[in-house]
Amino acid sequence: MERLLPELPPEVITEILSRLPVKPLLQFRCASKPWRSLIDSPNFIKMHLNRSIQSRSNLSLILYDFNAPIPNQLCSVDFDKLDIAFKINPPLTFEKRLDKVWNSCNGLLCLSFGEGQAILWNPSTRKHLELPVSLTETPVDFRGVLVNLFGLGYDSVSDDYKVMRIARINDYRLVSDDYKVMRVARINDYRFVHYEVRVYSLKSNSWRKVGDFPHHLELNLCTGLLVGGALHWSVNPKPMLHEDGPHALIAFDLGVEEYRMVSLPECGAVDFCLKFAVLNGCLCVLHYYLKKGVDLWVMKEYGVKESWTKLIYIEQSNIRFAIYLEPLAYSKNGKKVLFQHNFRTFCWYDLEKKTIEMVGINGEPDHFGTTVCLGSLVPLDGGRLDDSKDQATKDKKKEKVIRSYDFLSKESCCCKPLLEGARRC
Amino acid sequence: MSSSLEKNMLILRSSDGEEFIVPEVVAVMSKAIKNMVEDECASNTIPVPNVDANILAMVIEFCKKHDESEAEAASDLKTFDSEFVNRGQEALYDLITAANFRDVKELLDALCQNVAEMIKGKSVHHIRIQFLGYQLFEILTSNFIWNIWCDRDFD
Repeated sequence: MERLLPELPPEVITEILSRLPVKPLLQFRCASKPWRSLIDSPNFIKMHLNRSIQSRSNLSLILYDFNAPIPNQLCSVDFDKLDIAFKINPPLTFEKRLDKVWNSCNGLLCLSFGEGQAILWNPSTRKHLELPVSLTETPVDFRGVLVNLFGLGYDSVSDDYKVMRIARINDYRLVSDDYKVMRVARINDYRFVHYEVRVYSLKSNSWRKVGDFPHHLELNLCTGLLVGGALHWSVNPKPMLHEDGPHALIAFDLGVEEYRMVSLPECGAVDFCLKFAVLNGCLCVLHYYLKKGVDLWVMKEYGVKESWTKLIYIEQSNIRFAIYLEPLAYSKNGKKVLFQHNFRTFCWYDLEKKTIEMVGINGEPDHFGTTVCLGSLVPLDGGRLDDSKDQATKDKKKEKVIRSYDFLSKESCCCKPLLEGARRC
Repeated sequence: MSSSLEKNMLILRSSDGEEFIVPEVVAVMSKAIKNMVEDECASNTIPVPNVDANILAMVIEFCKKHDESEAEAASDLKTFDSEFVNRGQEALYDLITAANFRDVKELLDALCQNVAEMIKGKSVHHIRIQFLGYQLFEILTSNFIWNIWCDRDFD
């Protein structure tokens, strides 16, 4: 007779199970009752999450096809293998068209649909939560353009997941009542733009208005980047200069819900294009020099200006469209960095040999955007587990009782005509 | 402290009475022994109850290798680890119990990883019978439908 796992001390069992990916864990929930309660416990979920982050395992890439033939479809690629792109379906119906995949945090994805509505989705456990509707306050006779931007983050102070929504309201009426002038008013004309910011908290399941956005957003450089418990947005502090204005990065701290500026690296050069990204939990800046190449700067220690270091320099001659490189993640041994290239392919950059190697994936879309997502068991009930569970079981019991009544009444209904028919005969 | 032995050697005594002479650097990879040495409550011989000679020899081999090859390439160590933990279930569990009891972190990590690899691709059926001690008839009779449902693929 072989010896069995339950003979081992419980902390060792926890240790073993926390090393498994999400899929087998979901299956093993059904293996025995102790395992089920272990896998469902919040402590285990946190332990599993921390281990995945530390060992850089359970990562997957979520691809969003820009020219998808079918709406509401995404692809998922296992980061360790990088071989096949699987089709996955987000929990949206035909009426609710997927608008954009925003960032991901601890295995949760933030998707937006419709007019300023969002959904949180854990692709590994297939659980989702539709956030309550909260419309942006606009004037009654509002004529203009409304753009909603979302960012998801984790607030470690209150142990809560928060979604930040910036509504960028471009009000043409402020220009003039004249239709012709309104048409001329450029969409990016900063004078006619104002912002409304709301924060959703998963624990309270509600939206709340917070302090207005202090600067003007630069939409094309980056959208909500989650680093160190804060969401980062690129802004243009001197909008009147229009193009080539000094770019800056603003952080919205999800804990204290305040804005602060982030210092950028000083490299001496002037003529470059900027782009921001996140790599392994560190803030990155890409400097693109025309016809020369791309620098990748990494802020190794968050919030310390001196810790900006130049990690990679790629020459233009090595790769075409170097401006469209976007760093995604380190390889497991930390010697390579995966880039998304030109919205069409992936490539590895070897940090030691300084070479570029293209990666081909089966079934990848032609033109896509990528989000790195961790596989985790993070639930979407915001710690309201106990109450809701009790409530759910109660509801189920009630439903059963009601159903049985329904059944009786239906039976009696069926019987009546029969009886009547019999009488007639 | 064990000053009477040359070069800081310690003697570990297994549960069945065999004694192993080990350098202190190697022995203190176990946190439990380290605490004992630091508190100076250890005489020359340190009893290691619950661990028999066979297993203790294995643990010491592992610790020695890790101590020597700290400066060496990490990949060598990894292959050694994977070969070391590649044993039958019986020895594996004994090793895990010993590593957990004596608090040898590296060994416990390698062993847990190995068990995780073992159970990763298995079906719930398999896990129940091989690792959780369910009998086949139990599964077939009591909750047959439940099991079919459990084994469904999550793809």
